[in-house]
Parts: sequence; C-alpha cells; structure tokens
Amino acid sequence: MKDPVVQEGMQIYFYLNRIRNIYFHYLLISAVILFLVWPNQPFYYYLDFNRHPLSFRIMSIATLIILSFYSIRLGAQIYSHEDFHTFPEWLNFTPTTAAALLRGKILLSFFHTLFLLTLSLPFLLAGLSISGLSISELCFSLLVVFTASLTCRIIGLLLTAIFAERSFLLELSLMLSLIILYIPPISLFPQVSAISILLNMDRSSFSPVAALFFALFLIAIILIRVRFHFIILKYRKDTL
Amino acid sequence: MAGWKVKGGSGSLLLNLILLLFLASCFTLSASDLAADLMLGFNGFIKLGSRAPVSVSLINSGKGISGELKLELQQGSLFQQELYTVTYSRKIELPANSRKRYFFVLPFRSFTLPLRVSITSADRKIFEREIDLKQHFSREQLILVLSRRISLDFLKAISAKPARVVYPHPEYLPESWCGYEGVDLLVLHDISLAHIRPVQVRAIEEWLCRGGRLVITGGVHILSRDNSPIEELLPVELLGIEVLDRPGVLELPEELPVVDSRLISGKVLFGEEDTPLIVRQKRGKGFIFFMAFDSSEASLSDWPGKIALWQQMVGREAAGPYPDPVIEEKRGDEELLLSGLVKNPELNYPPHRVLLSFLLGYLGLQLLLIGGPLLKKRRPALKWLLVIALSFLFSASGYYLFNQLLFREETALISLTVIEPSWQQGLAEVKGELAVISSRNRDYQLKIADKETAVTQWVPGHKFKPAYSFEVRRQSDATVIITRMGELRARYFRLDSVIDLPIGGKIEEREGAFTLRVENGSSFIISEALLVSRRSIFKIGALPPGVTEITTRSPLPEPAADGTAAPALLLKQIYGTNFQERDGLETGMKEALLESLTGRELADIMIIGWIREPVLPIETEGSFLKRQNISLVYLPINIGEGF
Repeated sequence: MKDPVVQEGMQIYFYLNRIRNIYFHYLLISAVILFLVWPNQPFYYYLDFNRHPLSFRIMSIATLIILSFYSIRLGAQIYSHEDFHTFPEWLNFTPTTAAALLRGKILLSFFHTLFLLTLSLPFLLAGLSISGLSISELCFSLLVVFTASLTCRIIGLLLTAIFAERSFLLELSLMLSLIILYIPPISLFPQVSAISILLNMDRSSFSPVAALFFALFLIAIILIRVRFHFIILKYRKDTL
Repeated sequence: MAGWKVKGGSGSLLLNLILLLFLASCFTLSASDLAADLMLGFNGFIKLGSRAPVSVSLINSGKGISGELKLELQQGSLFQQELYTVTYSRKIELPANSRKRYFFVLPFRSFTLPLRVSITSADRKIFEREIDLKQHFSREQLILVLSRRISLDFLKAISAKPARVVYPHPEYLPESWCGYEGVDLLVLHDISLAHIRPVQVRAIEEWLCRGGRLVITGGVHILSRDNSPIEELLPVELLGIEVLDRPGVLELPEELPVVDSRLISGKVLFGEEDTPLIVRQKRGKGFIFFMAFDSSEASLSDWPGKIALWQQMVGREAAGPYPDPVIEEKRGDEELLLSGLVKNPELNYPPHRVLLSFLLGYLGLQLLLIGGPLLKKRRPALKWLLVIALSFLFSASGYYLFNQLLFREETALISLTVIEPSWQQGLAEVKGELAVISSRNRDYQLKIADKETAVTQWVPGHKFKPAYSFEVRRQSDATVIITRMGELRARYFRLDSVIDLPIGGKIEEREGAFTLRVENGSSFIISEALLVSRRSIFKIGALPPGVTEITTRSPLPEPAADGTAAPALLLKQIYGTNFQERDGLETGMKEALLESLTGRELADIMIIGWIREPVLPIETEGSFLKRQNISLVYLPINIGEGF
C-alpha cells in the first residue's frame, strides 16, 4: 500500500488493541442479538403470528445501528486520537496534499467499513432463510447498511475536522448526528428512513434513502475539503 | 346513465328489453377486431356485499384469438391503504368471426373502486377497460322474476324492507349457486324455460340447498313440454289445467283456472279437494313453493291472503353473507377458526442449541485469530485474510446449515370444513377454511377439484401493508387459487361449495325399539359419530359407506323443551376429556370445528362425525410437506321424514 494515509490507518485498525477490542464487542453484541431474536422467542414471536420471524430484519437493523455507532466514532478517530496524525500535521508537515489526504481517508473508510460488514455476514446469513427471505433481500440489506455506515464514517471525519480540539463538543455532535440521522425519519420521513426500509424490506424505497445518504456523503466531503483549506490558510497565517 | 334507473313496474317487458340492450350497449368495449358486452349482476343490479354474476360476451370479427380473460377487483380498505387485487381469470379461445359468452361470479364487497376487464394474448394486452361499479349497487331486497310479462311488481310492497323486482332474461341466469347469493326470492312465473341450461338448473338446486327460496307459479305455459329441464325442481307432478268453481280456501266468488297436480313430496299448505293449490317442499336449507294458480290474475287482486302468502314465501330478511363490508375488514383474528391453530406453527425452526454452537464456533475462531497468539507476529497480512476468509466460510456454512440442513419443512396446508348434507337432494353444503403456511416467498397453486367452489380471502388486521393479492383461475373441472406468499407466513382462504354427498338418517320405532338408520351413499367413512339431542348424546362409532342400522330399547334422545344445554358446549364436554389426553394439530382442528357450532341454530336431533379424507380434494403445486385436513359432518335427523 503506497498511500501513506491508508497505510497509517491499516496499521492502527489492525494492530491497535483498542480497535481489536471493538471487533470483539461488535461480534459479541451481534451474536447475542441473533440468539435473542431466533424464532420461538415469545417476546416478539406472538406479536404477529401471520408473518415470518423478524430475525433477519432485526439483525439488519441491529447491524446498521452498531456499525453506524462504531463507524462515526472510528471516523472521528475517538478510539485512536493520539495514534493518528492530525489533519494539520498531514497538511502542513508532510508532502500530502489536501486532495490526497481526503482520498486516502475515503479509501480507508470504504475498506474498513466493508471489513466490518464482512465480520457480521455470518449472522445475517444464518437468519436469512428462517425469515422467509432470499439472497436478493440480503444484498439489498447489505447495500443499505453499507451506504449508511460509510456516510456515518465520513460525517465522523467531518466532525473531527471541525471539533478536533474540543472533545466534549465532538462527542456531543457525534451522538446528535446519529440520533438525527436515524430516529426522527422513522416517523417523520419513513420513505428516507434506513430503519423503516430495513424493517419493511421495501426495495422500492431504496432510491430516496440512497439519494439522502449520497447527498450527505457529498456535502460532508465538500465541507471536509473546505476545512482542510482553512487549516492550510491558518498555518500559513501563523507562520508568516 | 339514466338507463340504469330501473324502477320495475313502470314499464312494459318491451321497455325492459330495450333497457337491456341499452345496458349492453353502454358496456360495449370496442377494440379493433374484438368487442365485449358486459352484463353485471341481474339487469345491472348488484346487492352490496354479496356475490353476483358477471357475463362477458366477446365478439371477434378478426383472426382467431387465444388468450386469457381477466376480471380484476380491488378489495380491502381504501382508507387504511390495505388494498389488494383479486383476479378472476379463464382461458379463452375465439376462432375467427366468432362470438362467445363467459360467466363469472364475483364477490362485490365494495363499490368504491372500478372493475377492470382485460384480455391478454401472447403476453400482450389486446383489450382493457374499467367499469365504474358505483351506479350498480343496491341495498334493497332482490326478487328475481322469470316471466313473460311484468306482472309481479306488487312484490316490492310485501316486505318491510325496500325490495327491487328484477326480470332477467333466463339466458343470463348464473351457472353457479354463488351467483344467487344476493337473491332473496326467485320466481318462475308461468314461463316456458326451454332454453335454460342444465348447469343453470343445477345452480338453482345448489342455491336451494344453501337456503334459497324458489316459487313456481301455475299457468298454461308451465305445462309446456319445453319445461322438462325444471321438472326436477317441482314438488308435484303436473297433470293439466282444471277450473275450480269458487274455491272456498281462496275465498273467491268466481271460477279460477289452476294447474291440476299430484303431490310428490312436501306439504300441501292450501288445497281444494284433491287439488294441491300451494305446496311447500324443503330442499336442504331452502324451500320450493308451488302455486297452482297465477296470483297476478285480476280475479285474485283483492284476495286478502295474497300478501301474507308472499310474505311467507320471501321469508327471511334480506342479508348477504357480509352484512357490512366495513365491519368485515375490521374483524378480529378470532373470527377465523384456523388462526388459533396457526399460532402453534407446524414449521419447526432450527433449535437454539445449534445456533449457539454455530455462534460459539465463529466467535471462538475469530477470537483466536484477531486477538489470540495465532499468527500474531508472523505474516500479519495472512492473519487478516484468514479473518475475512473465516467470515465467508461461516456465512456459507450458516446459510447451508439453517436453510438446507435443519429447515427443510417448507410449507404446510391445513384445511377445515363443515359439511351439512341434505338427503332430499343428495347434496351437501360445504363451508371451509384453508391455510397455507410457508417459509418461502414464492407462488403456490392450489387446485380444488370443484369448479363451483367460491373462494374469498380472510385478511387479518395488520398494521403493515401486506401483499394480499391473489388469482382465482376457473378451469373446466377445477378452481385454481394462485397465491404469492410474499412476506407473509400464512394466508387464509374461505371456501364455500355445494357437492354431491348423499348422506341421510332417520329414526324409526318398531315394537318399542328404536332404530337409527343411516344411509351413507358417499365413499367416505364418518368416524367417531355421535347421535346428539339437546339433552343427551349416544355414541354411534364409525359410519362406513352403505346402510348402518342401530337398534336400541333405550328411550330416544328427546329434544328438551327448555333447550338448556347448548349442543356445542355439550359436545365440547364429551370430546374435552379426550382432547386433554391427546395433543396436537388434529385436536385443535376438532376443537375449532366444534366451536363453530356454537351460536348456530341446530336441529333438535343430529348426527355429528368426522371425515378425515379431503372432501374437496386439493392438488398442490410445490413441496407441501405437511397436509392436514378434517371435516365435521353435521347431519340433522328429522323424525318422521323418510328418505
């Protein structure tokens, strides 16, 4: 891997104990949820006896929420703040350009989100058949979870670029972003709610959700790029 | 559309014929070489909430057409956005320059959405049209009169509820019993029915079995040789015309021409010497009335008994099977007998212990790889590749294990039916429920070996928007339900039919001994049969095909005067002990069927038993691993009425 930004991320994500603990937690929480929502569990089974067990849907939503939670925090470098080079360090003390840094961070986010999703694949596939669903529904579900998680990751990146030195504000904004992204749309805008379309497995609603997350993704990237510009300007101003 | 406002009685037969033609012309669905005439209900009238006939006449003036004729009705709640489409279809073959008529019977529960008619040939729609149903519905009692002239309009005034008298052409009479569902009274008024088809006569007989009421009035034309198709319906043998001189029973001061006849079976309500004037015969749950004279004649216009007589013949209040379509949509889950059974699923899911082993295996190996000493120092890239490979390996094995290996039970088909035989006709009313339970999102075809079976769907109250659409395809010898499971685990259908099932019973007293004689003319064995009265129960045992006689010197199970013990509860007490000992689906099915007797008006003495073979045989396409069916036979015993 020639890209220094991706190389740094790989080193941290695969060798740092704190990050490896996240993988364990992620796997363990997913396993416990699957065990609980397996059919014949009275707490949900009799709610709607005419339907297939909701195991896969609940598992998909759980994966979405857990992955979004970890993604936004991993994007904001919460677990490894001191191990990463800061954005001013990258931009002002290395030959890496703003565009290269942005590209590297996006690439890293893409592959790491994919890796996390791969870890949860056995849980999703185990619950697929018993829920009366097919591989096409699995693909749809993976696409939704991946799109949403990647967007969360980039939002985390944006927030850390803005609130890097103010950890409280960063934590607060991360949590608020997650809440705003997932909770109100369930009732206010169900057509763009990732949770609603995973619950209903409504493939026709994918386009609005994809459009929303893609728009958020683009806006976040533009804002990050603008922020990088200001970081460079500030350094130049300070050094002059 | 002023032509639809039939007021009956304000015009002549000619006017009605013109109206009929006008109606047909209103629905002329023209295409380049294909035209279609549609006749909805009876002369365009459909009783709200009931099934009604629809005839589609196709005129092909071009090349031969082979395709499918589809009638699509939208049902469900418009306000709750729970609409679904029921498609009624049949194959059509139209040679060049030909004309054919196809009959359907559709359940019109709602008039808010239009009826869609389409013809598809070679995967291409060659014809499509929407019919607005709003102007066709009626809430009034429906009296059908087959007559040469409009002379029974006074029937509109005999009922407490508003009634509509309609004079349909015999050619448009339904070919299935369910087409008469909204009809309160059918009158054959001194008419020659030379062109009535045997299938239409059979439909009337089946409708009578289910509670229909038919009046056949006398006159010259009823003696016509052309009337041989309806001989089966007459409770008397027609002999000729006789003129009665001032018949006292009718309080008539002048001569009256009547049809001379001889009673075959039934009860003479009025008679003059040896001539039966009014005869009533019970057929299944319904009645046939024979009137030897024409009550519309001027000489009888002031007869005081006329209104009372017709009121008795109309009998029941107008009520379709769905009293209010809105209420129907809001019915609770407990309305369906099968819903209680489906709560206890027949499809076994893989057990938790297998899942636990799978999860522990995956978590353990990942723990060793990611956090453990395995490949910690050497070849780190290989380690993470192994982590990913392990995920894919467990994904594939998880899918195979929980799909193919442990979860093989794909579908189950459960059916419950209540059979009520009518010995006089050799027919039986069949009311059933059918549940398809599946673990797959796929199409299923259920072929019921009876083309006259009426199919409706039971929709449970859902907060989601499920896909409840289905198709009923009519074949020459069967009714085919085509249903997609979608995200639903179970789909329910109600089946109504009338089948040939000659089973009857009677009790005779000879020298102080009572003999129960049951004649089972079917091929089914009735098992665990009981003779039940309101007060006591006798165990009979199995009733195989043929004649079974049981003689006892014990007193007969007499009907209780006060009717204290409800039969259904009594039955539950008897079977209840056994039910607790045995467990499983069959027990639940029997309980559900017995429960269905509660609240019904039952005969004083009856036989109740079980048939395990499918009475309405259902062929299935797909892998139905579990099939379970049971039928409850409810046979009323009429003391004194022989076979």
